Amino acid sequence: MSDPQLGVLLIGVLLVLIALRVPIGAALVAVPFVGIWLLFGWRPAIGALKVIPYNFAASWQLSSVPMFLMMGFLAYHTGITRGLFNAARMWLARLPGGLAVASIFGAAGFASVTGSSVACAAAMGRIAVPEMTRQGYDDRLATGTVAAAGTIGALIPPSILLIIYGIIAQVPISPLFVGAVGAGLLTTVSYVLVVTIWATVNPAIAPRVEEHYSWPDRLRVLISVGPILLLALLVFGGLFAGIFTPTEAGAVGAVLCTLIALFNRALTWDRFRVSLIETFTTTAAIFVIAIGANLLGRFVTLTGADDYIAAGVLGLASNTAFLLAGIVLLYLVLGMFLDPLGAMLLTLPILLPVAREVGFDLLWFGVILAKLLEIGMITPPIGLNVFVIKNVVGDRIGVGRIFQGVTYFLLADFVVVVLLMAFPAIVLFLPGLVE
Amino acid sequence: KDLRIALGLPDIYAAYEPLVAFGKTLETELQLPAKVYAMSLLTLAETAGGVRDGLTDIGFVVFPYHPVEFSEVNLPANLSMLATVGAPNANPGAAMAGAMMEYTLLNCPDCLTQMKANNQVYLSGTSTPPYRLLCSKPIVTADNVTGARLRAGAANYARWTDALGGSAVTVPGNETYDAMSQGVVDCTMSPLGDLIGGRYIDVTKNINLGAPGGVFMGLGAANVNRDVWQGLSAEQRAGMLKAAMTLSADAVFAYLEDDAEGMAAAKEKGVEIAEGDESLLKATADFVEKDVATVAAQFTDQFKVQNVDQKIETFRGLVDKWKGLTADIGEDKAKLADLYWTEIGSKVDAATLGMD
Amino acid sequence: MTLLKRILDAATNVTAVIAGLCIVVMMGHVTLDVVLRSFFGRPMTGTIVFVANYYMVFLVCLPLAFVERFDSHISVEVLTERFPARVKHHLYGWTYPVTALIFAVIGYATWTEAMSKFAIRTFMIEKDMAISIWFGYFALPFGYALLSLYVLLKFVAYLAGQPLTPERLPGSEDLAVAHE
Ligand code: NA
Ligand code: NA
Repeated sequence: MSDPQLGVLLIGVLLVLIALRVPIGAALVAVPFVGIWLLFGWRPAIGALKVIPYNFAASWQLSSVPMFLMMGFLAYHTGITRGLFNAARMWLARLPGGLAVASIFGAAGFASVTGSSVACAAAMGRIAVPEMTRQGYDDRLATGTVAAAGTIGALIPPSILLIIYGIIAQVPISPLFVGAVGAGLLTTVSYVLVVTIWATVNPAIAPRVEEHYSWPDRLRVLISVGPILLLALLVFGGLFAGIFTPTEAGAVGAVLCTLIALFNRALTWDRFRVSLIETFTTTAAIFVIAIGANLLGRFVTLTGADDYIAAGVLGLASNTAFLLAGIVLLYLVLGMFLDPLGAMLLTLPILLPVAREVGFDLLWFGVILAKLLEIGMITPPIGLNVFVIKNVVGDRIGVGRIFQGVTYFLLADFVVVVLLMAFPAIVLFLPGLVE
Repeated sequence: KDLRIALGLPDIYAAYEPLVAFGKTLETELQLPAKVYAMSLLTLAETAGGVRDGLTDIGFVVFPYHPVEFSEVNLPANLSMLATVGAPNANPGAAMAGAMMEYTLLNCPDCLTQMKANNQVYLSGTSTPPYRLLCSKPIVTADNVTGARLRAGAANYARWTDALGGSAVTVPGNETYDAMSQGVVDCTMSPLGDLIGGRYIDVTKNINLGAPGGVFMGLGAANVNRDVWQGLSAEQRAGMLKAAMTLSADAVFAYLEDDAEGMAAAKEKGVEIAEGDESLLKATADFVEKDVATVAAQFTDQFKVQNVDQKIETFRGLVDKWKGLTADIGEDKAKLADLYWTEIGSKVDAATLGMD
Repeated sequence: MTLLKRILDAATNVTAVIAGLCIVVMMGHVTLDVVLRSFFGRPMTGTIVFVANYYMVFLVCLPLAFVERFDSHISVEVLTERFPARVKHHLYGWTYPVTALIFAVIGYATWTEAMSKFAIRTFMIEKDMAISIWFGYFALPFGYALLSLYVLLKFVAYLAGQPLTPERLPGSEDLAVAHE
């Protein structure tokens, strides 16, 4: 058996292990370990486990992952996020599908303080889904909206995906963040359009909310947006005023969020404790997979399979449109099964040289990648955001219903991807302005 | 199986092409087909361990990443600022790479023992050109450094900054662009090549060529896994050692090319370029002399290196010797490779190196 | 077996406390460095080393068993979801030893690395400060070994015919409702 063949065989074993519900983090380690053992012997196989997991975990730049998670969880548990949704609801409830639109804006706002799509979906799911079902919203609309809106969490900065992309592709983080704003806002607008059209065409899925709010009430509720606005302003203001680096922004943001919650008298020990637990649980769960994907990437390199794939991809490169279509297709397929981080870590070593070769702007490429990976969060069969929402709603609504609800948002996503590819300025305009 | 050569940096990095050429030599002259992996096999921090355990056969090892494991070579590597004080020299990188290699291979049995403890064989080193101040504001005199925030990539640059009254900020290489563009730091201390490689040109308005000086030379350009090395024939080992000397010279000049490109880009962009002024040069020279004592104390007390003073003296002698030897190298890459071979490589006993 | 579970649960609780502390200390340490640097021109020495080699490795690796205890490791049930309950029960039961073995191998490898770093008491130099980093290496073997043990516990429970009832992470929903 040739080395690349062995690589392909072991990738098959990997898929079987994952399908049998072996934790992804374990399966991702087992395959490269056995593979390196077969190819080069026991000592290099053990050696890979000696050096790679430690050096991956002991990372200054990745420290912003738990820090941005902490900031988001704290904002959620201390009610800062809820205030945002409540305000959006009061202002938008009377629109067609108003509550769903409010949850999209809520997600976009929360996105500015959380780095993760899953955290964003979970937060909005917990707040907005019960509200929508209480108002008689169709369960597909209620759950599909928040599952999709959660993906904005990884587009509008901060974004853990973009941080990790920046580190691997050696693209500075702050221009990446600025560039992703355009993609995040475009996504937000497209989702709002989906809801509005859907609810106009089929009013039965979103009964008009009869609650009436007076103007003084509407103005007063804006105060509850204050904390999240202040937090985002301080974090991004400090970042661009040169007070701290993108990595430090996470820690400073978490501290600022704590202070704001203290000042609001919303911080109890229980809320702080739960935020801590969710932070390290999520961090450990993310890293165990990232470490595995990292090892797998080395193994793929060692078999030489990456060269074959890259050559295949570059074969498409004679035509940029074909190449881009190929990349979209690749991530749609990967995104069906893999989590975004794993998919990115696996593919970047292959795609980055291709992107450099073809002369893509790596900033633009990173934002496109983030968008594509986020689509994978809501595609069947494995859509993490959908599972998160399923987890929130419990037994009342099936996974299938949520995937149905997501369908129209997926259509909007394709339009957004095409726009981003056709008009790179959507991504590159703001970073150019900042410079 | 082909030999694996790991570089923990992308293929745009200066040492990549020289490593590819090194691999070609192994294949054509020694019947040892080799493949260079840029970034994809091991990161810089993992390379030493990867060579040790045979994840790669040959690796580009950065010794300061492992201060204790390679304390013996890190001692002279910490004295890199001797490159740019004292007797002037047109090509500090060439001189310091020579001094480091002659020290390690011919004058420091302890260095080789440490390589053995890490299951690898050192064949050659290399060195970057001098570090300069790449800034978003003018830093011309010693006084200008006072109160400025400078990004220091190594401990000696942090101490230099302190000594001149600035504040040293530690920012990893790939975050330096962010830190510069937002003003978290006023300057980074880096070679000119980083203007392109790290895209610092976008955020640099002023350059000072005269300070801080020093080079980066704590490098094993081609550290070989010991078991692989011992499995080679005597001719292959001798051939690889010679190829490694050429690799060293190639890399020195590749860094210089990057430097020249950075300089050209800076001029084209209209970046203000200052030579070090008298006060800055004097303050730097004073610092370097004091810092030799600091390094000596550190390696004696904390790293428990034996005979530190004597080792430093040996190394200083080699620095002066190599400043002289490389004085008229000019642009001649082959001449430098020859020089490394005749002065160092040919004096190494390839029959015993790494075979004990 | 309940005793075994009690012991392992206690151990995961300890790791949880340490991980929580790491988060708080990391927030504080980095922010303090930012404040001292930006407003007083006095950056702290070694922040990056502390964050990477202490807080991060502890935070990432120690709570692995805690995560397993609450079934929060990411796995995929799409295929097996459709299996009959009995098949599922035995299938899940026999993936435990495989999983435990994989994590045990990582534990072994990282243990030998930690011991070699311990043997030379490895440290880093920042400016003029030596910062020990060898003990951070031990976070990996401890984290992965405990994780492996916890998965083994689930296997033993399966063999004994008394599968562990899944625990829920300390109630976040309840808190959100309470806040209304
Ligand atoms: Na975000
Ligand atoms: Na998916």
